[in-house]
Formats: sequence, structure tokens, C-alpha cells
Amino acid sequence: MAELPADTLNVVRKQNEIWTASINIDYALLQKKLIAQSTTVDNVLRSGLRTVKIVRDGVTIFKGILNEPTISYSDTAVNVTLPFKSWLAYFQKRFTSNVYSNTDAGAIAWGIINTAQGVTDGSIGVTMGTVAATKNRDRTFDRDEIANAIMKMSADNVKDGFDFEISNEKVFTVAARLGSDKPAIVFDNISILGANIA
Amino acid sequence: MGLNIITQSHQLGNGSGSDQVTAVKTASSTYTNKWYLQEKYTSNTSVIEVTTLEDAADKELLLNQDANIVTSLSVNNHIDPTSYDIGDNVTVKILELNALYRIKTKSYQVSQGSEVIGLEFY
Repeated sequence: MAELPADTLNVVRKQNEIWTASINIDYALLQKKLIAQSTTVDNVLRSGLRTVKIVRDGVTIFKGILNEPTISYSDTAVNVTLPFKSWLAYFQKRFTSNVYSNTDAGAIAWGIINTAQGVTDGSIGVTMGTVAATKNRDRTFDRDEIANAIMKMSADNVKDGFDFEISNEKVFTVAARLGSDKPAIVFDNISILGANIA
Repeated sequence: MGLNIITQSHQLGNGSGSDQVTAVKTASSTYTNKWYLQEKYTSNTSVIEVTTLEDAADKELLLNQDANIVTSLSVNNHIDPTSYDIGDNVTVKILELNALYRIKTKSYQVSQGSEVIGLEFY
């Protein structure tokens, strides 16, 4: 585990999709910080699947997998960009040919995750949380990408679809609706910096 | 708004020609009277069940058959950003608008000590 000194940080969480994060770091500062932690930039970036935990005021707001780090070099600065994707992105690299008939959509989603994780070296430790029954569906997968197959059963893509997430703690949850009504949270001219109204 | 509206969704599934699985759904007259006929064709070639295509068409209409008004905000951290999350309905008061909107996307942008929260709504 290494602590990273970020210059800029972006975290994007999307309902029923893959979450992303990006960290930009001055290379020299990163190198100095990692040496102090008895490791190297090369070790952090290239020696296997790397994960990140991003904390805001003691609250974890993102955990995920390092994607494709890039280093931009000029005669005035060397900067490292570290892009991350949430756990769901791992299942963009896993495929399914399972077949389901008249099966609850959440059970299908967990079924294809669970089958994929049963393969040697195929588990990143996602566990089954609350998987509420929503709607029975038929699915005949044929080497379909698992992440996409799950997203296509979500409420953003089909009528009566479910909401789902793989949380920062790798718990897979399905519900008819995730989130709640919070009318007391009011964004007005005190908090709004900009708006798009269409 | 305007020409971004969809009032008729065509979903094209597996197969070709007369063998192709398809579904077509049209918005109710409430929306077609307002926005006229505005079509969209979407390819879902791996889908073989008509009901799946119909569900996709219904959802596409639900999301696109009318104007959404407020689509996104950038806000400061006057309200604790950890007190709301994606999926929540929150109140937005801006200009003459005052309504609940459901959060689709929430982002944090942090740079040199400043923090801006981005929100996109369904």
C-alpha cells in the first residue's frame, strides 16, 4: 500500500454504470513520496493489478482498479496520470455463455458474476449482498461481456429494469430502486455554481 | 429538448431481413402531440427475445419523450457531498424552477484545494 500525493483528482460515480477516477501527480513528487514509503514508481504502476482507495474527510468515496497510467514528459514538467475504474470494470474483461429462462433479473446478474468468479484466477472477491427480485427474464448469452450484460438489464436500459451497484467494499446489490427521496437537500443560489437547463 | 426528443423507438434484435427480431413502441399522444413523430433506431443484435426489445423501447421513450428541464449542476460543498448520492431525489431551486430531480451522476473535481461537485440528473 502506498499513499499518493495528488495534484488534481476527479471521481465520477454513475448510477448503473462503471465509476471512474483520475489522479494527476507530479512525477518527481510521486517518486520522492514512494521512496519514503520504501517502494518505487515502477513497482506501483507495473507489477500487477493495482487498486486505489480515495478518501474524503475520512469517508471512502471510491475504490477501483488502475487502468492505463500515462506519463507526459516535457522539458519543464513530468506528470503522471492514473486513471481508475470501479470493480464492475473487471467484468468488461470477463464473458459468459450462460442461459437462463424465466429467471429473476438480479439472479441472472449475480449468476453470471458468480460463475465467472468460480474460474481459477477469476475472482476479485465480489460478494452477494441484497439481490431483490424485480422481473423474470430470458437470457441466452453467447460469449457476452458480463459488465455490459448486467448494465443492459438495468433501469437505464429496459422497462422494469433494476438498479445495481458493486460497492466500494465489493458487495453486489440489486434493487428496484437504489437511493431515496431527500427533499430537504436543496440546491439553490447558495450552493449552485453553474447549471445546464434544457 | 426539441430535436433531442424521441417519440418512437425502433429496436432491432438478432437476425436479418424478415427473420430479424424487432420491436417498435410509440409515445402516447400526450407527447406526440407536443413533439410530433421523432424516430430512433437502435441495434441490439445479441437480443433474441421480443419482450427484451420492447422493454428497451419503453425505457428509451420514458427517458426521452419529454423535456427534462434541469440536466446538470455544478455545486460547492456548502451541502456535505456525502449526504446525497446517485439515485437520490434532491430539490433544485433555480430561476423559477423548484422541483425534485433524481441524481444519475455525481462527480468530485478537486484541484489545488478547491472542490466542485458535478451532478447530472435523469
